[in-house]
Amino acid sequence: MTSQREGWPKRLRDIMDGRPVRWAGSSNLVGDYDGRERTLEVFNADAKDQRMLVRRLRPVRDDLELAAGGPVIVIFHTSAESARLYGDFVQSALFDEATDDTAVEYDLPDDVRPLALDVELKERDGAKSGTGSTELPRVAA
Amino acid sequence: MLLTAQRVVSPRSHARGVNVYRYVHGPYTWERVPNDFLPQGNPGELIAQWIQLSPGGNRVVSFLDVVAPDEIESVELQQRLASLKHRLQPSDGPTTAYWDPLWVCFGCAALPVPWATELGALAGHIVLRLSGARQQFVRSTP
Repeated sequence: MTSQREGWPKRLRDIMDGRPVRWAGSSNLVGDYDGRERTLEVFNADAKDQRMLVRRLRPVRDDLELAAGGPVIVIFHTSAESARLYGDFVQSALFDEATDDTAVEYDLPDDVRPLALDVELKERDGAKSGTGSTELPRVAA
Repeated sequence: MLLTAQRVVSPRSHARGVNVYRYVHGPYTWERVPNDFLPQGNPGELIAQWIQLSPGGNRVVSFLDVVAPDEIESVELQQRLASLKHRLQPSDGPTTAYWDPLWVCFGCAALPVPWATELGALAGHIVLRLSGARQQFVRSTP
């Protein structure tokens, strides 16, 4: 049960477009209520997106509650509150999410047809505006 | 600003790398990226580049262009980069999309890796470079 439960934040992160998700720790919760230990926090979830996120939860809710051991309470934190109150966690979680795929290694066949060829560019010389390249780093193959 | 990451392969040594570039446009804000700031017409001025494989004739096998206001909050940019692979849908040719103040374009050759994984990898390389962190581990494809 525990390992199933611990795997859910990552699964929900994918369902929620990469937003950080975690089980709420008791130190982050105020008050006592039934299901306190089954509280999920979703970050960077602004009001305009929350209804959509709730809809995405529906198909997995039964499995989620089975893993959690009962009904789950979901708390959405807006982007502003996520940054104000949970900045360290959010930054860390986003970094992990964003860089998750950078470590994937694969063999590249020799016959891959290129999209373009790269070109050498010059970056701006210090603060001297107008000294950097103004072209894309690729040209048609 | 324009953030670009592109995976390149040397035609001679077959060495590979992901090069990342950062351009600026100036202190403009917008709800939708103006056509004047789309990269084909005006990528901006290059202010930083992180080079894994020296450019000049390498084959580009995937690229990700992201246009955003220069002053965008870093946490918002990071959230959107983390979300890209969940939001963009594959299409024929490069996939382009407007997303609030962002415009993105992802192109990918026929690679032996899922489309979303390559998109996530390029977005992740941008995050890595902007944060100053180094890649620290390697994971093989399943």
